[in-house]
Amino acid sequence: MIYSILREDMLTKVYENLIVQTVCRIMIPFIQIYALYVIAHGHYSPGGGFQGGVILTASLALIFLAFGQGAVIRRINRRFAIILCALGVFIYAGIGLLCLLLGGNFLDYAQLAPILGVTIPRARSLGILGVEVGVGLAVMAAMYSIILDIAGSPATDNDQESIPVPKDRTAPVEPVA
Amino acid sequence: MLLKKLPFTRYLTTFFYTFVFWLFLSGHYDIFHVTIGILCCAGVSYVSTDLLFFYKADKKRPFIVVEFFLYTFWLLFQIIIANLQVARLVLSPKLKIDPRIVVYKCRYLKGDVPKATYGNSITLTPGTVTLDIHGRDFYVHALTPAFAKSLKTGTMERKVAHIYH
Repeated sequence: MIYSILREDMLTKVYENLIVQTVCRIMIPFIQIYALYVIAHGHYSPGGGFQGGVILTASLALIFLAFGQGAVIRRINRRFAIILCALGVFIYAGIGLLCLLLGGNFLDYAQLAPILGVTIPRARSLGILGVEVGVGLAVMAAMYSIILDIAGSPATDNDQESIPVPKDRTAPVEPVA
Repeated sequence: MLLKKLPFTRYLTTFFYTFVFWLFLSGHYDIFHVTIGILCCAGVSYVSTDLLFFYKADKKRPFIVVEFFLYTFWLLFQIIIANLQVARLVLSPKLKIDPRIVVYKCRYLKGDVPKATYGNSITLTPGTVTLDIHGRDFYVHALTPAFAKSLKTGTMERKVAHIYH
């Protein structure tokens, strides 16, 4: 009996499951809000940049699993993911180096107080928040691009540069004498 | 970032619901944290508004939330009953299980949300699992013929249809 319900289109086409898609549509915006909450409240409560970034990637992976690659690449394409990843590392290292340039240690947020015009404890809080935003961006984008690289073939990116096939591979095979 | 343009009210509705969720999570209600919340909710509603949908009934149904709430209590009762039945089956030394996949053709349900609700209700009830939905056909794995038979009576489907239609 199980063979009778396994039809041809289940094996060949993109498999769409109504329950998975409907539940994912309700869940995903709230998962994303939760991820951003974990990032933004990392200096008050458990969590932080890495955890929030991973939850954010999980929401994107859920879109990928439920709706296919096109739906997720329409939101963040490969190039934008790499740019976000670099931007995240830039924010993290930039804040650290700024503290270094102002005469403190690396990531010594107290040195930021004169620039931001706030008290030293407040500057520490803001500095940690900035670093966590950077870490969150970098983790999200890096894990997202890893998922895309594991799962997808570049030829299916509809709005993306596709990696050109090398000339010699498409050339007709010469008959061997 | 090629996203389909949607009506502005839909973005606003998504923003409202996500922001309520944010305030529920956050617990810090100073200007700084609320501002971060507004920025995050704006970003999420820009990216994910096309995913979040709001169920529109074909008729005006003002008490749909209340009816859904009452249905969950009925479902909870069914889950407890089926739990006891499954426990009796699997704990008896004879292990009288006879698993099968049955096709249930639904009669009343139309649209994605009622079908997904019904499919999830079948899965939540022990002994039966919805494997797939194709059009009106529900492919359900049942542990014994008795579970399949109680599914075929269609009581649960009528309850779900009573909420939505």
